Amino acid sequence: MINENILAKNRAEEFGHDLWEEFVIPHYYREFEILNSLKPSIIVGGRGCGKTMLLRYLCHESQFSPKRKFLDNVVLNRIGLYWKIDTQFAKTMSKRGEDEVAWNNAFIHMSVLILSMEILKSIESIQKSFMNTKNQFDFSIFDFSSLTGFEEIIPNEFIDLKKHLKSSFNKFQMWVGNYKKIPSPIFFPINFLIELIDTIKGDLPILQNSDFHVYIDEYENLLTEQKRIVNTWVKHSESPLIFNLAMKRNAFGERLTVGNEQIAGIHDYREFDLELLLDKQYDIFAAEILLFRLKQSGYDEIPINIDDLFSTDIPIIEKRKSDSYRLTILKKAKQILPGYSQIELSEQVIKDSILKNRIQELVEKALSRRNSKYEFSDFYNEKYPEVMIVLFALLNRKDITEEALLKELSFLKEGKPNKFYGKTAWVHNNFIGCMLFLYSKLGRLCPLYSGFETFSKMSKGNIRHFLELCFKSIANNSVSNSEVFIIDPKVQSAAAKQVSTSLLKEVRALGPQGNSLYTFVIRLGTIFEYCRDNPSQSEPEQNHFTIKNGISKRSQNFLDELCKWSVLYEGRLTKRKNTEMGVEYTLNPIYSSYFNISFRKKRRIEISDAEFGIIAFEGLEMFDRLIKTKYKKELGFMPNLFELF
Amino acid sequence: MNYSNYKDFMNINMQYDSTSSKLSYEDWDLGFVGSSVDDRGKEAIAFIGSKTKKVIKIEYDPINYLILIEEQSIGIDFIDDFLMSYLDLESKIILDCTSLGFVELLIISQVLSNYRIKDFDAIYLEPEYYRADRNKGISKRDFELSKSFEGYIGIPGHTLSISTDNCDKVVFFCGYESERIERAFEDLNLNEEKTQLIFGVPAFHSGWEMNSFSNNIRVIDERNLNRRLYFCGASNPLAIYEKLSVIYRGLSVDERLFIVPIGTKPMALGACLFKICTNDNQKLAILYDHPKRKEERSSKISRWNLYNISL
Repeated sequence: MINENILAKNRAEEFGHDLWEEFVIPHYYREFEILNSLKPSIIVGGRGCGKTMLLRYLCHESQFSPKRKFLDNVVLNRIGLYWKIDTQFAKTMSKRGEDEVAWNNAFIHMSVLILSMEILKSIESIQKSFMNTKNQFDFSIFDFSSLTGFEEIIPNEFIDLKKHLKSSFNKFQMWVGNYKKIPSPIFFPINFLIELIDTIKGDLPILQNSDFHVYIDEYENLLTEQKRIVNTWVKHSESPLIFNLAMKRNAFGERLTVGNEQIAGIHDYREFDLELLLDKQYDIFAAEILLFRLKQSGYDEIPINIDDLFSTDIPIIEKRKSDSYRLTILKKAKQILPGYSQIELSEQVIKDSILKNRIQELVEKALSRRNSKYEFSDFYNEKYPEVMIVLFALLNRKDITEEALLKELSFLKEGKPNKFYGKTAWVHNNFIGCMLFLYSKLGRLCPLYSGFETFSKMSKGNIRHFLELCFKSIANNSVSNSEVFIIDPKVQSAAAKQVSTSLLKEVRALGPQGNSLYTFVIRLGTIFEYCRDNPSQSEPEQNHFTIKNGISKRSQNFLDELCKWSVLYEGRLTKRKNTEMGVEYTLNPIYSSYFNISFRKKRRIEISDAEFGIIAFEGLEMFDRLIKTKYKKELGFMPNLFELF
Repeated sequence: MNYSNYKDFMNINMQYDSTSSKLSYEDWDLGFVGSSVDDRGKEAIAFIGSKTKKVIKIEYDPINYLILIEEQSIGIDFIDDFLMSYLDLESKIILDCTSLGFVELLIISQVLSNYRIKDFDAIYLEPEYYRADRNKGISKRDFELSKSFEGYIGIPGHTLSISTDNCDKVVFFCGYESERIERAFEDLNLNEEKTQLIFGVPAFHSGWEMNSFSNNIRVIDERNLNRRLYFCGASNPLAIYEKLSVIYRGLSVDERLFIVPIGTKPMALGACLFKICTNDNQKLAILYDHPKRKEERSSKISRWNLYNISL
């Protein structure tokens, strides 16, 4: 019996800070660990790629987790401190009639207080985890009298220092809110942290070789001045205090430090793009997480050793990259989440009287437009269901005559080479486009959005989206057979539609411009729907675009925002035409099911900067006009299958 | 119609009717208004203009912490001194909750309280319709209410840093824009288990509560908030005041309460009054995302509310 509540957890925040035996080690981990030595790391990645999970795994709550069985002193060399800065509060330390230097000092003071408290917490984590070893220690060994140089009333003892720091932070918060009415506290410089660490290392010899790594999450939300302060810390990071940053894509715009020096890659830091690192093994990683979560929720038919997923040993990680492991794990994932083959999909259409009638209607309409002497029955043959799916599209193309088509059909019947398959590959090139056309016109759930591979493609490196697709499918699966755990592809398609709709609604919440991003996605998706609705399917599966003849700064900024939130993905143009820019933008495939468009990156459309401006910034009337002139369509409302009330 | 309720340290006499002529009031000396973006805003400002000796327009700029008032930009930390010359203990004052934003209401209430002006009035005009999203939206319950948001930025004097020790409680007032709640979870260190949602029920019009429920179902489900839902009248600031009092009194020594007033304006007014009356800046703070309201976000007027407030 599967416990769906356990499966429903898919955000780092839901797991807390101790991720020991919760965090599946990504295949890139060794690469990351080796390079992430004493040089600061800048960790970049879109939402849901696992940034926060990785950071929390690296930090003391996980590394010194009570759940961790075998600890040796080597793990003490690196003590991680996670810090997501409370930006709504940090932002109030600017302007307000006070000069920039004073606020910068206040920001540094806040950072010192918070990180000092975090350092003490890390010592508590270590103390708890080493309790039963020969390295056990007591807090009474610490003497913090050296810190009184910063503030005379700082207590000497560990517990008192902890209380003092908390109380100082509370007072500091009151001061920030009312700085005109309350006297300023004594601001601590960043060196306070070094002194604190030196004291701890001096008093606790097992930490002699330890470095403290601060991981600042969501760096992009800081004010420019605050980013410069943090950049300075990164630039001047050295043992025993190293600053690392994590941020979304396109978010590292500010490179200056307080001293107006630039912070530069390789020299000052190493950048890790988690989505790129994950890309190579994403499908295996997704399958592993799926199986692990199923195991957690009570499913036992797991063909791999789950403990391997938490191991950072090189041979085990290498084993997880091997072909045999890959085959085993993908086979299991596909067994749980099967998809339909092309032939199965086409047979279903032929067996469904409504869909079959729709094909007949489309073929007859095409023949009538041609004033053809032929009839539907001259072409239709259920022995070749895949061919029947693409028939209407081919008959809607001027350059293919009925006779030519009948000739190819006869070649097909005779088993001779023909254009449906082979080099011309009418079936291969048009099948998905025709399927999407057929289903969307009838407002039905399209079974294309099913199968492990499809879910993997639709989630495009976003584990949270992948898990959402899987667990919605499992939750919707009414057949509970503990012996054979297989989710019907139709159930999966319904789940994909639900998840797609739900995540599309979430676009409104993506940053301060969320409402504009949402309007843009709805409009772009609508355009791709109109592209799909061409019965000739001469350009099937259009789901990305490029901008021709240059782009304005306003448009570029908006595109950057869309990419920052992974609503669009930016890629280099593979086949570049004369007037196109060097980049193309793909709509996140997770939205494909909502719009009934292809999740595969196949064909692009070209739009001008002016047209982009209309889609992104103008009112409904202008957009309506664009749709009418460019796509000869009227805007209309599509019924939502999942409207709840 | 008249409804009174009494509390230890605050009283709101609430009147409401379909027109202003049926409300009982005497003209005011000083009125505070904001910018109008729709029919009711224009009507409210016109009403205050005709019934008040002096009208002051006030707008808050959250990025620069400035208050635009009487054609001047005054820092939020200096507003007490600036407004002093306009205030008199004997003055009869009215605030227009229709056109004033939440922060403006909070700032004015705070200044009035600081100057020991305990009695003042507020009006709020409920809309007949909210504007539905004309784009091809996902849901028929999508509305065009806000152009954009500045994001969650603290309001000096009413802000604390959210603790990473999970000891802070958060209470959201829910409106139609669930993305504002989602964004708060996305951007801030909020603890789902200590989060409560308050819906405005009864709503301004019967049936409108379904818009709030429907639009917020996703966030309730994803953040496991379904056991922590509460209800207060959408046009009843006293109900919110009382609800917040209960939560506040239940805080433990280490706990603090963050109020996120993103529901209806009368609910926001209740939050302002609660924050001012308790005057506990160590345990109470506001989280706010500073929306830019859309022009014509609503149309026509369904009901006038007049609140006679005694702090």
